[in-house]
Amino acid sequence: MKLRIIHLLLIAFVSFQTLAQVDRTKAPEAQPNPGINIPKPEVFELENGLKVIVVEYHKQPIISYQLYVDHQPNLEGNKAGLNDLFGQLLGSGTEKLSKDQFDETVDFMGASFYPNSRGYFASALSKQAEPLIELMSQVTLSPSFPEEEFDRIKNQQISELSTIATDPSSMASNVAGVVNYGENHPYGEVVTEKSLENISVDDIKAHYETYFKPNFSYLVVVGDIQAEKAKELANKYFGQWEKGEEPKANYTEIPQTEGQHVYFVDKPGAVQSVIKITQAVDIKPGNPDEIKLKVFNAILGGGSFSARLMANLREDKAYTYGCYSSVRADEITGSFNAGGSFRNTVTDSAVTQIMYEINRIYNEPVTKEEISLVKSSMTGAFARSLENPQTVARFALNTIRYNLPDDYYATYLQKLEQVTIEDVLTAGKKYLNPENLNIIIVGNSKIAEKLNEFDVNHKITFKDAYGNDISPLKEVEDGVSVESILNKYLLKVFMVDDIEAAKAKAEKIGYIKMTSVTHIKQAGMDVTLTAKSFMAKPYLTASITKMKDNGSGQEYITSKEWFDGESGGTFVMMQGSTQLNEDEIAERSFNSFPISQMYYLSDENYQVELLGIETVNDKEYFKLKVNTKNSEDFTFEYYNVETGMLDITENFTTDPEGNPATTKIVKNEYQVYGKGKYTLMFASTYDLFMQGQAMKFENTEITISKKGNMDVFKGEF
Amino acid sequence: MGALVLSSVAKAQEMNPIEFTEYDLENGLHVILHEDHSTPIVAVTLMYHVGSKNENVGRTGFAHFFEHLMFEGTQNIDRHQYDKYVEGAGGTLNANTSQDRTFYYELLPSNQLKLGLWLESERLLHAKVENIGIETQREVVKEEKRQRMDNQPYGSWMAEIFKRAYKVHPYKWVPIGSMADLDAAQEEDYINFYRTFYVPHNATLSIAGDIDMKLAKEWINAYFASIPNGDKLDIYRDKEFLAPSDFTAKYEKQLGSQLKKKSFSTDLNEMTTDDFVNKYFPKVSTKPHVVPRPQIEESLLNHEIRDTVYDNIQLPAIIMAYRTPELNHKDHYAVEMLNMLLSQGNSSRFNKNVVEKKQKALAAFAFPFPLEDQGISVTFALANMGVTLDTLEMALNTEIKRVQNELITDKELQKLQNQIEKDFVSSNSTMAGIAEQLAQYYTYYQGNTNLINEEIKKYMSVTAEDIKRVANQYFIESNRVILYYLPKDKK
Repeated sequence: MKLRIIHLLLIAFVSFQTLAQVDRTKAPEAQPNPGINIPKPEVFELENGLKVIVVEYHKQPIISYQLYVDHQPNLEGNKAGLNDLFGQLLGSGTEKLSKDQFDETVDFMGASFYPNSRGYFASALSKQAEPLIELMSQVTLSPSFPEEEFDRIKNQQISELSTIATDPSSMASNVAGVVNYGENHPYGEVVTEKSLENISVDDIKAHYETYFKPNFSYLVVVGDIQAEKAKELANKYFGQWEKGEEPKANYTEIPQTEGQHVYFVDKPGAVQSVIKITQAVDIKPGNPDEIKLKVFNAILGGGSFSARLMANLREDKAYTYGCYSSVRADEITGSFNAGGSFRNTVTDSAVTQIMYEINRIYNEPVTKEEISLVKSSMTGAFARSLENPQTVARFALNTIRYNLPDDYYATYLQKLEQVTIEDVLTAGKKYLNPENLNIIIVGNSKIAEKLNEFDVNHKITFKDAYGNDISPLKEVEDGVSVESILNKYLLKVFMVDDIEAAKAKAEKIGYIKMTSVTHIKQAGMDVTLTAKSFMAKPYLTASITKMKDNGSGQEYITSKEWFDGESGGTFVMMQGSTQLNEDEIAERSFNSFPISQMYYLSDENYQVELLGIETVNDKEYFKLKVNTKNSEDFTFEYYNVETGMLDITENFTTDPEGNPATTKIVKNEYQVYGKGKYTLMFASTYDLFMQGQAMKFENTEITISKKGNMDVFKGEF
Repeated sequence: MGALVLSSVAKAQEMNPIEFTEYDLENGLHVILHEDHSTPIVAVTLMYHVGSKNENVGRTGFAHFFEHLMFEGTQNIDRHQYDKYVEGAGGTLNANTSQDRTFYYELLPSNQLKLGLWLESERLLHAKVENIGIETQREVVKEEKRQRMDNQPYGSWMAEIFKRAYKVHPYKWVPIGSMADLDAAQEEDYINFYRTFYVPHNATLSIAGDIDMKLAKEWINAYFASIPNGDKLDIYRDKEFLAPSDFTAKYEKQLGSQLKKKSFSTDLNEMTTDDFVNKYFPKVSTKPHVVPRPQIEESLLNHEIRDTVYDNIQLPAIIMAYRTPELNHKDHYAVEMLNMLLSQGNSSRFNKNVVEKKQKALAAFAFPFPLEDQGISVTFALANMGVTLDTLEMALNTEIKRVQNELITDKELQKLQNQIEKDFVSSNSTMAGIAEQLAQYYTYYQGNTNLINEEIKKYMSVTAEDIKRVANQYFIESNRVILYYLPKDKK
């Protein structure tokens, strides 16, 4: 009997378990709130004014030291890039240790060390607490800034600058800095090759002497160490650091814009556009409105999938992988940004939708659901951030740096909870100005035209990768025409008084031979390139280029090209010879001897257009666009307004697969070549820019005559 | 004297081991729990042992695309609600897909553990894939590819290297896959993929954080143990996703005479799926189906593969890859240390010699890309201004030849060990990281979860001879792919 009951009970128990299955149709309820606890760090000041923050954290046997030198952002002027260069050089050795010894010491400790323009972050196992702080005191008190390393890092930065042209986000940031803050503001200065060239190692040393002082610096110690021990170490290793005066900074006012402006940076071949919609916002860290703006931003485009920008542009329209916004508070001036990467064809629609969302949140109250979702999510993020002991240290650092109330972070979640729908609307209206936003787009210029409608003047501004205006061309004065420009140039080249005399002189010349030479000496190679070219009436051409390896003394023919008026060919080292095809023959069969400009107006194979006056390196040039018949390729020619000479040509070609290539030639120092009746002006040196390289050629010999060796046009050199 | 200094530095740091509990549910789901109360948060993660290597030719990119679709909702979670539930609870969520696994996670305040369990169990039991989601996410994935690969300088390197480094293994395509393949996917592809790989015995539930062990186990049981497996899971899902008439037609044979019962159509429409399946398929098998995995042992390369890639870049670069053994191979640790020797820290050989002394490169890195099956070791070097790529290549080769010909010094070996110790101690510092690591060790090392604490011993037993040996065995020209990356306008 009893057994039977037990059996029944068992069945009941089993079926009870089945019945007790969870209800999957509803989200489960939360358990009681666990509450959060922010540990209190130890803060003290050394006699020299260095403030030390210690956060004990014993979960892992790790220790970190962070130095933060809190000087005001400094203007770099014509030395933009100095702060970054200083930061990189900070870890390059000390008075006691060469760069190599220093690197070896850090790595042997198993430590990590990351210097920056305001100090460094270093960490190691806690058993290395003392050796590491000793090393850091050397970095701080007696850095050596070795010249060799300075040169290397500077050159490296110059090289890296060229990568900006392929990084759309860097280009957009450069432009944002310039348009939001102006180029004479620490946040608007743009690093260029020229500004880097201006920096010397003495500037770096002077920067250290002026800005690296303990009385406005913080040493943050986090990890497996007792506060008392940290205090002892800080005194021992940083106590000798001498205090100094804090430099005062002056800033220019940031530019006030009226209306929405569109700035476009061309990135040929781009498959996506980077959109950055931005403006400067005057909000300082710790301002009670900051938290309201954070809620505003989280609803608009914070990191979550349900934020408005993400929900609209990704989850609804699939324009993008991600679309976000941000509001950054800053001691000088903060900023607002919104955008992402979008495929070319939807760029204008994406701008429309982002603007729609900005205006919607600016004008209309957010919903109850939205604000409560965002508050929960921000509360959670705040709690999660406490997992990292560096967060506690950062809170302490901010509290001192920005002079926040002691309980600013302890009461952060209460303040967040109190933010109302009304607060969000008011804060948005107080700090943002949707009518004056800067819209920056980096992308394929094919889509640029569609963006005019977003600009207050219906005309977008083109910028280069560094935020400089690509200036629109100036119009020429009355009386200046293609003809007058070409004639002025021809008279100079032929050194005659009228155009008939030039023609008569050209008639006598039958043959020109030019030899130009360049030396390339860079890490890894030392070669001399010699290019010889030959021309004869009416359009015979030939050239041969030889390369001599100055190490081995060996000489190679790198390329040849010849055309005798009817047929011709090319030879390229490693690839061999090929005959010119029909198109190539047609391209060469235009009158061009002795210089093609003589035929621009009379020969229908040329189409020439005067575009206007462009300023290049502070000089004004008449810019002509020259097309030849049956070809997509074209050339810009720049005639010096003052001297009349052709100083720059830029040749734009496209290969059969559609890859664009540019060749630029800058001509320098025209002088007279030839003898007697056979004289012409040519540039004596020229700079050739192609395939990302620059070469300086010198014309070592130019002969002008009636006749010459005609075999070269058959390919026999 | 020297020895004394060395031994005092070499004193091992005490580290706190990661404690965990692990067990299998009856349906085959593996569970790993790690308890830590320092912050009131919990990481709820589910790792599925499926990645791009489980894809078929013609359907590449499917595993990753599927991951996007797995946020679309379930029978009980409406479209676009996954993230709302999590964010509303103060949490965050995301997922990622590699060649070998797909990983989903929620980081939540610890009082929301149940929510995480519910969301993940829903995904495993009956995720819903609908046309509107497929269409939207397909475009999103295409934008992801444009942003990460096409519009990113050198962004194509993974695809370019892997397609040359493997001939037959599915590693020859990368997780983002082919957009044409995604366009070609059919409804049955989604059904089959879910059925084959999203099953309990192919998944690891790994939880770390401020949890109460007893309660956690109870809730895990409630949400996950009730998920059937095998034929029963297929029927369960069909019952939910097929129209009643289609369901009846598909299972006509198995249902047999039960179809004629009066109550059948009422039950079909009104009973819960659980009850219905239990009543009408009482004897159906719950035996897990075998999860297919590629069984391809691809031998090392037998000749150098050399090519040029033209990309939207400014600085020419060399990207090369040596084929190296799988994660769970004894040589893996020596290969990893060889990479560290070349590139970890400023005193590493590539940095000191190629970047700083010879100034051939702006930067040069070597890093292992280990995978569950045979992996690769990658070297990436950006040429300095005016340096030709063949000069740069020579400088890189010189460093590799040196490791092949000379034993590294005791001091260098000690340095590598010190670096490993620091890395090892500082890894596993977040709950999310610990949950993922535990799941990863279990998944890739045939259940050897405790490697999270023990793996350092394997590194420490690597000798200078081992490093020289693997350099000679794997880091040889005939076993590498070498790509010259050049700006497009150089073409």
